[in-house]
Amino acid sequence: MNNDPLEHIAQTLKTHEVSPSESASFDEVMRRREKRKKGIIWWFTSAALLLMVGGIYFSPWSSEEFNTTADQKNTSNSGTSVQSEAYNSSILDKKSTDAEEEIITNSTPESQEPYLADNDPKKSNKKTLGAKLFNIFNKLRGKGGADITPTNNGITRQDSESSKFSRGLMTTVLVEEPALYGKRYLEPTKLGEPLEMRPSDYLDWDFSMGPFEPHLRKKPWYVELSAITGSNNQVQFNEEEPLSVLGTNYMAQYQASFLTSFNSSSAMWGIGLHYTQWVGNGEWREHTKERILQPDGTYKIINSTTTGRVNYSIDKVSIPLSYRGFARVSKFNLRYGVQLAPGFTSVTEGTYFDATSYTALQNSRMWSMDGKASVGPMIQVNKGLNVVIEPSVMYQSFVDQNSKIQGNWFGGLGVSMLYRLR
Amino acid sequence: MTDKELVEGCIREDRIAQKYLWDQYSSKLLALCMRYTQNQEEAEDALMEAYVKIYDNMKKFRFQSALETWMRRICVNVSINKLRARKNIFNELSESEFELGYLDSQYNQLQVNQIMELVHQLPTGYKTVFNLFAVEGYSHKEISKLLEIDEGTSRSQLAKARKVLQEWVTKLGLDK
Repeated sequence: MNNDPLEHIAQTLKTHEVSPSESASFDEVMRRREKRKKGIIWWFTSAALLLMVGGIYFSPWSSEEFNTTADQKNTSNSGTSVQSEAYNSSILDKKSTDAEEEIITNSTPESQEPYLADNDPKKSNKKTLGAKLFNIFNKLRGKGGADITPTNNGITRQDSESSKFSRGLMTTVLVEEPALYGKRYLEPTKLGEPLEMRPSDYLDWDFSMGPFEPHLRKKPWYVELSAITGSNNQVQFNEEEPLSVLGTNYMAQYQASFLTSFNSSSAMWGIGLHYTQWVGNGEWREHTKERILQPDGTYKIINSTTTGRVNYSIDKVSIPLSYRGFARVSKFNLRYGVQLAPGFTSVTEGTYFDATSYTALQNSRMWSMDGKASVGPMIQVNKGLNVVIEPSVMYQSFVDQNSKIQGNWFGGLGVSMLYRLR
Repeated sequence: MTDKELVEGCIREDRIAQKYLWDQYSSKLLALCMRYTQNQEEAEDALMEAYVKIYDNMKKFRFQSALETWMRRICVNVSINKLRARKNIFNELSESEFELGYLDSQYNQLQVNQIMELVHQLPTGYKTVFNLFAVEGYSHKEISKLLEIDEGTSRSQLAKARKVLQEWVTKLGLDK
């Protein structure tokens, strides 16, 4: 007999053997291995599909209809465009009939449309696979493009009601300036770039995935309720662009998800539903050149600045596909997560804007895609309930009526409650 | 069949070698898994998961330790992961008081099942650290890394486990 009872206990445990029951057999181990291999193939296929869909969604393209419109406008009054071919003469001629030194005017939606157009002639007739697919989506959802109506001169015009919603209080101040603007139209916006993460965001993450097992009832399940709010501020006009917008974008998101762990690691995958409210208030400013016909037959160049207010409201319903991981730093439990949420808009009204353009929104269902990455401390309240404070980076986007992706980055803070169901 | 032949056979996906590995070690490893898990069903699940990893990673075995030691390490890791997935074991590493149940047996007559029952009555944190240190021979540094706790916590958990077990032995007068 061992003199040290604790040593005796340890030795007894060390040499202890237990025969596995019939359910734990060599054949079962081999069956699991096969399943694991299939699981890996399943995950890779899913990931490839997700990447492909994401790639299509975020790939930039131009709207064929809109570019055709811009081209037509440029050529419709070419006879009066003398000093600069880059000017949109139809607007300039219209404005030249107003007061010469200082005027107050109400701009119409038609007069502002060229500023929203992608005027790159190389892209005007180009349509990517993504654009074609989303046009199919638009047809499938029925209302897409229904409110875009051609005007008498063949110019596509957006619904004037939505434009009126937010474009009031516009003033035009004319300032004499002999210099010409070299670039009349806006560059295509750089929206729709794919989500990118820095190496520091994922270096310590555990991406190991276990086999896909359909026996979900045996897995631990969690329900997660979260709320998050974020903002994106543009505080200064961009002096280098003819049209620039400043303003604030706010978003609030409410989410419920079910999560489970497919293997023994603490990583979780889940699916859920979230509702997002996204609003923006801003002010736009536009520098334009006007030519005034003088009595001697020459033109006088007048620089004018036009300002106005824009605001919009977008509500969205999405299905977030979530990944959650856990790490421990010193004495703190950290949770990190990423998610991608395809969905659709339930409310779209007003005039959406970014730093260099604005677009009157058509009130219809539009496809949307959200992404979120977050990391924050996890605090255990009791055995089943954890609270997570989540500083997050989010990308909110939607496909507008011109099949153009509009999107914004947000920084925000959220709170999540993670409750273990079984 | 030697360890080398076993390993080489498993790398070749030789079913006979793989089956032999199962027959040779599954009983020992199941007992190991049972010390960390709550019941035999969960332990068997951990055992099979560990064997999947063992077969899949056999080519990474470098003979720097005995094959059994390497396999035991994998089983410990899988069991700890299962434990972690089931609950937050850090919360189990608490200062809370508890009492072991009474086992009506003499120390020198203690059966292994009774010892298992005794150890299972320990809080998860005490039990895990005791098993890792006293049975598996892990150092406190290794335990702290595995469980993601401080070395000091590992030491204190072991001391508390020892104290509880010692009290139980003294209570029964089995240390005489």
